[in-house]
Amino acid sequence: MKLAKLPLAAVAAFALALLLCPRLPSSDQADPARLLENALTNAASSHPASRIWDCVVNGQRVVSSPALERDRFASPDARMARLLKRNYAPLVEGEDTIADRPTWVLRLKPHLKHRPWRQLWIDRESGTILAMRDWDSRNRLKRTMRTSSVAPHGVERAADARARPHASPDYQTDGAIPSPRYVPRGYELVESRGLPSGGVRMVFSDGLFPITILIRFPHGRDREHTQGMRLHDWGQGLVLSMRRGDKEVTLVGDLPREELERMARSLL
Amino acid sequence: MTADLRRSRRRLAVRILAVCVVWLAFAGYVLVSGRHEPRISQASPSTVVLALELTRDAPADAFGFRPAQGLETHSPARPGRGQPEGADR
Repeated sequence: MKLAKLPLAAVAAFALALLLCPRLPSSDQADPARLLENALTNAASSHPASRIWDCVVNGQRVVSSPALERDRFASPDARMARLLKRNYAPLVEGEDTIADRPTWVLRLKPHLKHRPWRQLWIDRESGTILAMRDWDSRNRLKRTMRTSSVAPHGVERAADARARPHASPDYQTDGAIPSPRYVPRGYELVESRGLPSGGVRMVFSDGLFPITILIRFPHGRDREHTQGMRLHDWGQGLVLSMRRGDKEVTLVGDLPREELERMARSLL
Repeated sequence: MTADLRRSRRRLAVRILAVCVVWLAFAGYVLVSGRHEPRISQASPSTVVLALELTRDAPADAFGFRPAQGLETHSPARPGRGQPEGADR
């Protein structure tokens, strides 16, 4: 009887030892926080690379042909980086090879449930992002980017070297621009501007994914449209339109409908 | 000997039944919980145009990627403009 219990005791002791023993730092182990920091820093540098984008729109996949992109066309913003670090936890998922280059696979896991999230493939040598996958709030793949080839450093064909339109962060706020009474946790206003048509456009972001709001004051034929709420899934998130009186609010964002609805109601 | 065999068979049958019951309970839970999620209809082409326009000008994320990057090739009026599904696989 005692002999029969021996293997069981050995397994239990082994499991306990595994749980209790301190994890030894491995030289191959990547620090997720440092990887993320490197990726954010290297996002500003430009490495000519051929990338393929694959997006889901209304249930259909839209695949771009491989195109040489010098960089990501916009310089990263420190405020966005701060929001990202506040709302997402980096986790190293493993290793992979993209465009014949060894990469770390990093998952940016949101602190809150039912939020979109991202996977990044980061070049082990340079720290640049070679591939990414965006997952929506219902864990469906909505956008991917994959580098098919990386040009050698310093090589840049004049024809491909497009001027980078510097996207200066636009935080202008006008007294006339309404602010929502409810903003989903983790999101901050990053842009707001009045439109020539008399409407207002606002963008909230959590560092990775935006919520864009359009407030219009329709008149004439548009005004005769029915009141109430319309909600659609366009593959990259939800589009919610709500109308009360002369005011129409449209929200585009990847969040549960309850959150978008609450935000829209707080603007009416 | 025969009694032992019978007993072990009975135990195996009970175990298999228990596993089946657990799996059925799990499948039932998944089915029932999924039923509460309301279906959201797909957007019309005009709604996709509006969403694209609103997303196109949105500021880039922390890595400098624009929210509409990769969507530039999409035109709701001409859905076949991008490569067909599975072309890259």
